[in-house]
Amino acid sequence: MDSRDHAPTLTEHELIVRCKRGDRAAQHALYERTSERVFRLLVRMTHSADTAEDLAQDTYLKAFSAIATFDERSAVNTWLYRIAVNEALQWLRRKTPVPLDPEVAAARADPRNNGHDPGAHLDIENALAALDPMDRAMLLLRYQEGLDYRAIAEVTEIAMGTVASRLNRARERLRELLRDFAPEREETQAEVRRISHGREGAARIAPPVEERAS
Amino acid sequence: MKTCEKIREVLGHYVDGEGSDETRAAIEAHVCTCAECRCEVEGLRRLGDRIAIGAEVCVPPALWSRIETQLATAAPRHRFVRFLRVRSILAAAACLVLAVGGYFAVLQGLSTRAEAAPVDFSALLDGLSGDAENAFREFVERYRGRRVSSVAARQHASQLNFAVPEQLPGGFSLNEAFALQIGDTPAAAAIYRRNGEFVGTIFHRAIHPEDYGTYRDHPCVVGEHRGHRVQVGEWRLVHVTDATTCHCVLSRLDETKDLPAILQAVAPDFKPAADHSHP
Repeated sequence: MDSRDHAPTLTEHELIVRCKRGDRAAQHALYERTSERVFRLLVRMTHSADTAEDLAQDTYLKAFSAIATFDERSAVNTWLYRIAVNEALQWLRRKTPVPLDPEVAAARADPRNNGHDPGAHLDIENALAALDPMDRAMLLLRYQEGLDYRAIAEVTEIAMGTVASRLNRARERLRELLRDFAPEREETQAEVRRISHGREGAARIAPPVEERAS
Repeated sequence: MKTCEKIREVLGHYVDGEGSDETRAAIEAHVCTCAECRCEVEGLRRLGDRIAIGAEVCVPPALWSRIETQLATAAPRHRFVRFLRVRSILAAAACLVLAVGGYFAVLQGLSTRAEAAPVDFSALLDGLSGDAENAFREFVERYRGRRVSSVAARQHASQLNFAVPEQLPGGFSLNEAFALQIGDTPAAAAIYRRNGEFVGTIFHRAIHPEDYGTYRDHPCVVGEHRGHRVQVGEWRLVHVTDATTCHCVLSRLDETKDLPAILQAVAPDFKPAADHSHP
């Protein structure tokens, strides 16, 4: 019986059971369902499509070789994310730090900037790249992949109670990196100052920059 | 101000949709009346949106092919290496049995290629130094063996070429037959007895060398029966393969006297070769 034709319609549990038997069609179906998420996460963790492809390959090979130990207490996506994040973190530990945008690196080295990122061209990717890898992973899992705190705790193996504080810290660090030049931050800060100084109605949230300019 | 400080500590929680209904209601009540915290909420939301932007990727089309290739070749090698670390002789023999079985199948001119799930004989071989029959039963159980009649076992694995006779040469009687499932492939097994002496047979789909790619790296053990074997103490797991089927016989029988007749009884197309050599 060729299960390849039926694999795409199987439930997650049925797929897992078949994968545990070494069913290649089921493995392919599981890959089809999950690979975009895994690859997307790895691309933004490593900032390299080639590296992400290698790590995605390793992720699935490890997953399929260890799937007998997967007890389905978490979603298979969560389990795959955990393997992928571990692969990315190991790779990041082995490699030399990712070079930032040359202009940013130059500005950071400028003594007039007192060692801080002036951020003239520091976009969100560079800001993410400058974060601690685990903080980056947590932010990507939350905002890119939409995981809730419980799932993030499972992926990162960080205590559930610590996820919120780690995310707070990661967000603050990211905002520091973006501060004073990132439009959203500029906008927010400017608006906060304006409201604080009573120049606008207290109940009105700032409209977008373009709207204000018109 | 103090309220704002406390609220700010949990605004991320709130924006992320976490926290109890009670906490969320309290935060909402405050945010409705506090422009600064409301701006903070908007800032956090925009930050999340910015992180999400740029998430569109296209999975490389060749990625699955790479994975599939590795699954077919690298995974058994990993298993082999792991065996070597832990149980070198048994594992090497187990891989060898499987690999050479596939090699035989190719030698015999297979033109069609069937996909076979890996068969892990380590549990069986590891147990042979203790209770061999129990190890055999554990192997059967591992592959979801269920006790059936010999006819049902034959029907279950109807695409395989094997026999489960009621009697084997040498006075062995069929005691139990099993329907197995190895991956998606039906398989079968049987237990024979002669005055308390146990013989086990296993039949599964032929394994191809490309699926187990390590056989060329290791010496090939050719038994007297012109098949291949692994020996653990007094026990031998003898393995002969035809175009579709690997036939395994676990016994303590003499390779030259007793075993060839039994192999011929369970493997209808088995013909002892005059000699054997490897490329």
